[in-house]
Amino acid sequence: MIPPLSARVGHDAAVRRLKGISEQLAQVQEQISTGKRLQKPGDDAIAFARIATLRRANEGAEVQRKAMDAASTRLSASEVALSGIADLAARAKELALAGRNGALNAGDRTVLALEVRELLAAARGLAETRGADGEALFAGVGVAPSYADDAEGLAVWAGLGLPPQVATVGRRIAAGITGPEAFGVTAPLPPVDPLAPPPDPEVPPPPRQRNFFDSLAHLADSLEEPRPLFFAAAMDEAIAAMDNHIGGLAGAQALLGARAARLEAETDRLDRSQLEMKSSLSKLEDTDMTEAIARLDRLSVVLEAAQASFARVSRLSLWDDIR
Amino acid sequence: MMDLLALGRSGVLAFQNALNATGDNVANADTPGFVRRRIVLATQPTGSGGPFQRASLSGAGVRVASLVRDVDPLKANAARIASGDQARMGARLDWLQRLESLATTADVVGRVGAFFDAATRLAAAPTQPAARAVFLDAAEDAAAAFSGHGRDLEQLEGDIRAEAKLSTRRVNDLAAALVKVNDQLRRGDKGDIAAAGLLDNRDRLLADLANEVRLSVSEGERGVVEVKLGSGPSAVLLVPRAGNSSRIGVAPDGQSVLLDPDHEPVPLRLPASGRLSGLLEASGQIIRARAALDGSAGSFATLVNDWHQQGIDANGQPGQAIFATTATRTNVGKANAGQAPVDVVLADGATPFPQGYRLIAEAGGFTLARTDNSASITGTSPLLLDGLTVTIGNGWVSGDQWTIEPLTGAQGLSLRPLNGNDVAAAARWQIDGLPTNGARGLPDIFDDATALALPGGDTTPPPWRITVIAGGLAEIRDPTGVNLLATVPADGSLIEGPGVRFRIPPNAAEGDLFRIAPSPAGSQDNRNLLDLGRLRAQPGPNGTIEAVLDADLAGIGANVSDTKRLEAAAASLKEDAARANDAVSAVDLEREAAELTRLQAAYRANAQVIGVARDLFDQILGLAR
Repeated sequence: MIPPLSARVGHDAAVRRLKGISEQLAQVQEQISTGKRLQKPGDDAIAFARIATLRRANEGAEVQRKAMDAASTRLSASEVALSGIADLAARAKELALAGRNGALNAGDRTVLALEVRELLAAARGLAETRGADGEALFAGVGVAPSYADDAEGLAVWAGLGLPPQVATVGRRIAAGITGPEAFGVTAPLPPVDPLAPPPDPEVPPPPRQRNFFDSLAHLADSLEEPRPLFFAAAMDEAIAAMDNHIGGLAGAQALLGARAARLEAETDRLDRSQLEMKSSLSKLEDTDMTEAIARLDRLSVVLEAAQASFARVSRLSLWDDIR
Repeated sequence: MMDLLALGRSGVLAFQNALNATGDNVANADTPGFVRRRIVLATQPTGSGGPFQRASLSGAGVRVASLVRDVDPLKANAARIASGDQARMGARLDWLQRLESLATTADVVGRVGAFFDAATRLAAAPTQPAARAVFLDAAEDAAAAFSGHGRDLEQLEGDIRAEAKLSTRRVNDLAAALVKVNDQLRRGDKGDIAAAGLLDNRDRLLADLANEVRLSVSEGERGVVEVKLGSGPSAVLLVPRAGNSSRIGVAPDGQSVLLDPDHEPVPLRLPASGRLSGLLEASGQIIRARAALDGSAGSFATLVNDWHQQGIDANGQPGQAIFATTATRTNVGKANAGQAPVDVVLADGATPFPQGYRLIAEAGGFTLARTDNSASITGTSPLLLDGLTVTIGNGWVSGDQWTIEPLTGAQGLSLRPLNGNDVAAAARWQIDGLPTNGARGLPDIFDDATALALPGGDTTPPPWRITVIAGGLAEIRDPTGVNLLATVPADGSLIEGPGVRFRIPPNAAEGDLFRIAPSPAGSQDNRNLLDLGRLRAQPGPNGTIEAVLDADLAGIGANVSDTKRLEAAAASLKEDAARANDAVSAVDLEREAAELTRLQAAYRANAQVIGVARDLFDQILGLAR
């Protein structure tokens, strides 16, 4: 039985029904104005938790992308420096081949040696290239300088460890390359054996493994070597070393390129998964405007009708007829 | 003829009363708790037919037999119960929604996530001072999220406890009022207008009481009631037919009720109905939410602090704890006459006494003492005790007191005074090897306090230079390569060193060279930050920290939506029950209007009877003339 409006409970019930419709209207209005279907966890707890997870993953992906951008920048800066050094290496080899040619006299070779020393200075400069935050690119995790001179006058790597990394899903990618990886290492001289006979001054010393900078210094020294036997051996060694370094630098550039490509692939993957996340997120929390506006229309029609009929019915009264 | 006049008179008087009752109904149409009254008419007893009164053949007229309250006790009871059920859900919903809105706006999980994201951001630029500052900002914000939300929840818990206390006080007051009404009902008359008013009053009190707690009511002679809390044989008597009412109070746990709280408290199981039980349920939920937040804050602080101490900061020093887990709060004594401000500073890393401190101002000086008096200090401001520095400003009066309590859990969380260089971005150890090494991997090393020295007893810590020699052995030398510290197996077995354990990759070839060195100051290493990303994703017993926080929020949300549904159901039940009861007891203006017309007609007819009698009388008088 529906109580009449003339009784208090009936009147209250009618007013409550009107209020209920107004509340629904306000809710739909809020959904439309904020564009969000879910405002509070109480609206749909499971969906809300899912949204929180998705949103977190999305923000994480955003930050991850920035980190990978920074790593890419560092990689390409390293690559630029390495390609500059590779050009120097190519020039050094040309000079070495020219110097090996017996047609040159000592004066010419001194000029060549001078140019090689210039190349060495330029290469040392490039090896100290800094990244965006002033960090030494070839020092691993260490601080500048990347290379220092030791007691022997050789360039030694002053860095430490491995380059900083960037974490991607499941693995970490090094955002750079260390000096030894790019430029090789100089083998230390074997300890002097006091019992061994002194080296024969007529025989050239055995070849030694050197890093790129020491090889350049060795090339310059070799170009100025006056003893023909020593000169031939040293130049052969220097040209072989230069070939080796040209190969090594190309390999290092390829390594950087491969790392950059991995980062790019990872960025692509991130883009795709972010798109996926955003669309799930939108499905879960965004207001379906068409539906919401239609609902708003329907609710306002219902509210108007209810208000009108309430006013109409409560105007009817027996009391008007009592005299 | 005289009979006719008397009949008419009795009719007019009776219908006058009936009209009055209807008028009263109309006047009280909107009075809460008013029960519709109705006049019951009865025939006047005829005369006995004695010498002075002859037996009437025509009847003796009408009289007002009684004033009836239109009430159906069963329906009234059903309405009371339904309203109690709705009140329970309403109160629960109201408080849970407050909890929900606090938890949603605090966004603890979002701010914790922002902290972890800041670590990833810093890992991309570990040497950048700005990124370090942003990381510390994010850490401070995460700590503030925990402590702010913890404070809000404590406030909310205090509020709901106060409300539950008010509710029990209301029950006690209403019960006492019912005792008084019972007394008056026992003394008063039956069926008169005063009794009807008292009964209305009684029903109103019962309805108010049933809103707070579930009752069973049994009605006795003259409408005196006996009220029990709950139903069944074990229900506790709240209002007896005669005698004083019982009292109830909220237990200190904030989730249950005690009978006779001031004298002999007995735990009471309340049926799940009424506002009080809704409040206690919500209070339990709030208390649990607080405990969960404290737990999450603790595990977050432990995780981050432990992690940070694994790393090396920009000064080349081991990382320190990022978060302090204890704070203090000063409570001003209630009886303080002075207005002196008290400033309490807890030294970094100090642990205050868990039970708190008392501060007393006296003419001779201030005394700061642990609450159990196990330590104290007397003197002038500032006072120093257990790492607390207490400064008392001007305006104190001798005898003023303050208490200082330590805060732990979520509220105790704060960022320690760190600057950007203190962020430990780098891993503890740096390891490298020659690019020409035969081994594919590098040695690994980790801290172990139980390890004491290298094999052979040398205790020189890294930096080391490790050379693999013939026979599956490796030489450990200092960085210059001059001093041999130890010769160890190079087969991948775990080797002890001073404070560390390490292993050399098993596939190392003769001539391989490795270096192990502590991270230098200003290092561009970011491995420790990357480790935080790994720890973030590492689940604890209930999932990752963020998943636990999410689940807590979802739990509150699920509770709110459940309660919302239950409340809607309870509200419609309440409406139905109220409708059924009101159909009997409430005033319907239309019905009163119809009644009024009917009674008016009857009144007029009776007046007409008097008129006819007068006409007849006049005629007879005319005959005599």
